[in-house]
Amino acid sequence: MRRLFEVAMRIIEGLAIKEAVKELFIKLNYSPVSLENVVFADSGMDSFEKQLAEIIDENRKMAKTEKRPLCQDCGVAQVFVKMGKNVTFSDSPSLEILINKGVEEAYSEGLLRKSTVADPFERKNEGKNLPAFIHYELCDGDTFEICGIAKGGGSENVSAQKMLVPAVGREGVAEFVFETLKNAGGKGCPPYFVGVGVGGTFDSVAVLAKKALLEQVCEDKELLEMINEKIKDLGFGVLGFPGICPVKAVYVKKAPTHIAMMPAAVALNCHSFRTGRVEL
Amino acid sequence: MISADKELKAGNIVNLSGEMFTLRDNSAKKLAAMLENGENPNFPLENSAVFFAAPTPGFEEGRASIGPTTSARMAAFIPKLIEKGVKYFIGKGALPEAAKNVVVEGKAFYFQALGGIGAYYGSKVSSMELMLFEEFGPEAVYKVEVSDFPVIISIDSDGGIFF
Repeated sequence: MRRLFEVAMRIIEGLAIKEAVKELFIKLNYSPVSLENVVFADSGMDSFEKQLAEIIDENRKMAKTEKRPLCQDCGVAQVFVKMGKNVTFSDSPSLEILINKGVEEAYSEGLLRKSTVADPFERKNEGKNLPAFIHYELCDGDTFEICGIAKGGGSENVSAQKMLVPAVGREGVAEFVFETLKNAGGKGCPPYFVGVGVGGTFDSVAVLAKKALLEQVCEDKELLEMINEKIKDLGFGVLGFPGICPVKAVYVKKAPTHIAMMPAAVALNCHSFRTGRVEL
Repeated sequence: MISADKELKAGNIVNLSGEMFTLRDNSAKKLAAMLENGENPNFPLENSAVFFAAPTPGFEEGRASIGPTTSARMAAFIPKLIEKGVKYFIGKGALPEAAKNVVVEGKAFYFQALGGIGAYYGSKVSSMELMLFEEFGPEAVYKVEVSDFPVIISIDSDGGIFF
């Protein structure tokens, strides 16, 4: 058969992928790029809230200088792979093996806590923090990109997904974000970084909300303004105590959906916001 | 025993020093079962402090992190622990009403530790010793010795409440 284009495959060393995953998850737990320019203490806070915010700011510095993980909950490893169709890799029959190996080495050599239990009922900890939770996206070209998020159980437990009806519009989605934050209170370690996903399907909308956290974008300014307006009435601040700063940032992503549907998801991330990206 | 640099009065931020025992989901459940069977653990519960937490490895290297997990998940075990003499509970977030009442009636204390500052707290730990339930990995019971460990007094022994 005649081809329109001759395409050369790009071969990435598998061991380089494993190393990149390992370095990414160690970096996330000690000094993630996502927290580089973040300061929580604010002159508008009262002395109580400011004292808590200053300790959080101090924690970030100590994690870096003393080489201690930012939080003892080093999360489960969530990995988002974007792979061009002209890319392949060596050293392993599957990408999954390479990624899991990288995660295993990161949590072991990086002195990170292994929080995964193998079975939700038996709850046995096998001490490897595996498996990584991996999402794959195929694209054109020869891109190979890995995004990671190390997210603890506290803020994952207060995240939420809901199938809304289309008629509620932005107002209804903003209300759902508000309710989710209100229910979360101090449980998930605010100030929160909030990832909102709207559209898609029951399953994909939660991934969309996570991608909002990873990409730190806003695809709907009008919704963002409504959410920001409602947040003022939450009535709690740093770590859920009385204060003015329950939320540090809100990110929004949206997707096409069915005529009958308005799926929405709110991925709450604690103040220890650990996301990052590597390209190979 | 636990001591503090300020009065243990609801609403105060104080620095604690002394000994605590870590406990959480799996270990709390197993300890409660032991106590129900009339067995005693290998550490004293009378006047003790229980910290709902699980540390990272790396204490020997001077690199451990430790911090509170959500206390509400362990609330069901609080009455039994108070009955056995536990005096201080340290964890994250509010307690359900029933547990609050048990703490108040038992003249015990509930302190809220700050969530997500594991590196900071880790630097305040001077010793960490594995006591029980090694099979639970990070969820095992550790005896930790702390100093200048900041917490917010949420329930004091006079029934004062701050959440």
